[in-house]
Amino acid sequence: MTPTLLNSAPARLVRTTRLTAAAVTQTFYHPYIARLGKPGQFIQIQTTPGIEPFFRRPMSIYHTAPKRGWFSVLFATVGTGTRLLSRLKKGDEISIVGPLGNTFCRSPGRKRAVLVAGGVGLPPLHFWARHLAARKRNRPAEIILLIGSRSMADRLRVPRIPGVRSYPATDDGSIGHHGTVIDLLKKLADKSGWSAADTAVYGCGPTPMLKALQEWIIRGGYWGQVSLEEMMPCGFGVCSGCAVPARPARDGYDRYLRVCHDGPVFSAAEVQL
Amino acid sequence: MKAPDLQVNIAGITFANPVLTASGTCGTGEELARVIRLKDLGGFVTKSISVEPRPGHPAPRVAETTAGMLNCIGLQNVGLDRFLAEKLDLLRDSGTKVIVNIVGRKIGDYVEAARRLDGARGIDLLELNLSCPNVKEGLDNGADPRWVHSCVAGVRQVTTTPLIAKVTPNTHDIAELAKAATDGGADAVSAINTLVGMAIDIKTHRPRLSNITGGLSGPAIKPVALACVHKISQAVAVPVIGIGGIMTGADAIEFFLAGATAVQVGTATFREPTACVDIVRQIKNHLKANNIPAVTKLIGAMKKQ
Repeated sequence: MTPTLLNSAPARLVRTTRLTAAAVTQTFYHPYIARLGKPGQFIQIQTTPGIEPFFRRPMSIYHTAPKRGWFSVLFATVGTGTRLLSRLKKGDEISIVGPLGNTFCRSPGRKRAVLVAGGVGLPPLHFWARHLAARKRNRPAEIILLIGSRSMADRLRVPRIPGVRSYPATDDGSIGHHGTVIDLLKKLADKSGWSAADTAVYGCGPTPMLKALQEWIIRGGYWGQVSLEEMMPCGFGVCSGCAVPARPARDGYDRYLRVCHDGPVFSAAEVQL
Repeated sequence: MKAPDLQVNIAGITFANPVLTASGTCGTGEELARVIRLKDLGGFVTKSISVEPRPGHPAPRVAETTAGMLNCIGLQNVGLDRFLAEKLDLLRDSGTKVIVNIVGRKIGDYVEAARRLDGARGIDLLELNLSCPNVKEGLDNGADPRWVHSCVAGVRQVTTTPLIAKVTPNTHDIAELAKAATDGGADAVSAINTLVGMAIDIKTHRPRLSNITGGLSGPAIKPVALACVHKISQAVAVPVIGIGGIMTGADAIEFFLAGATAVQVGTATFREPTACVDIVRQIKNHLKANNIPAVTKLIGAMKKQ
């Protein structure tokens, strides 16, 4: 076997853009990840050159610009690591490992792709929506992106993608559907008469949201994928720290899957949330 | 000056360099082989293998701590049959020395595992995990010198493969455990395994690990590990393999000076996937820069205060 993942070359910060009080996007120059990164994959980013905080932070790839050698991430500044990261200055270099993990995939024959995002679960799905919309072959006839957030103030302002219909939902009703993104999903599915045969569903967001999505997918017999997030000491499959139980329940070694290495994208029916 | 000699010898086996992976931090090699060439390692130590497969503990299994981490993976492994059928080939063909780490609930499990691995081609040494803090049996037994002696002696009877005993720091006298292991027939001692620790989420008031306690690793434990290695190397005649918070070549050099013949690198690999080979290069550079012809010159070379 030839090593293929040797690339832990430093990434250089190109720019930081604040989206909301809590969320930022950062664009890095790292031609290797820019060229190879696919929707659903993530990177492990060292938030500081020192050893505190100790773990790298896993982050979904939000966007790539292969010709410029750029890729970006979108994250909430919730803890020490993400706050340090958000304070990096243009031109600063930081160690990044990736791209890691598997990717979303197209379900052949299904004409509609419905992407369900909750909070900062949006970046990999936005990336996937761009990717689907840009496809020449096998492009779904309909691409729908549902974006859930707590309120208008928390709403992540991301670029519109030509050919993708986007619907917001907020918990407080300040914009779009008043309620959860899963309620919005159910409403649209009923109103538009989606069927399991013609619709593929993709989800990323907080665990309670994914759990509700999973239930809906399984009950309706839909084809679906979910992208999970976990604390990941290594990110490349060696530490077994990011375990998620397999579904249906199994015994022995195979009881748990590794989010970083077996995922982060799983078939919706394959994990217990 | 010609290139410094990095070779070390443990139990009659020559290692190309003194840097091995630490058990439980690199699985059985297939993932790490995507990152580095395994033959650039001194040796590869597998995750602990038990006779029966083990599912491991539920999440959360890891917690970040100051200068390190806690884990309670719970010895998740494929079991001996699948290890032999599916995993050993890659290691055997990798060109590095292969050390299979075994673990059990009772002495009979270690003996059975060792007996079945004895004939397997491509295994250079066995390491007995007498010290995992994440399973009750391991901790209680591993801190008892009589149990350690019986376990190593039992395994010694059924295998001609050289044995490394990995002893626990969760005891008042680690040198006593090392002596018990060598009296039982161990060809080398490795130390330390993780230290028992815990962390609590002050928002939820819940422990950060599913098992409540776990094993502390990373740079936070390096000074403790160094003292243990020093103490063991004074107490036993066999080679000592130093483990605990080694992040750089300089850290490894400290362990050699304290009496270690080789080192194992674990948690560092999580932060830096290429850590092991980076450390080999840093050791080499240190030897060159200081005109030290061989790494063996450093072993136990700490001077008096």
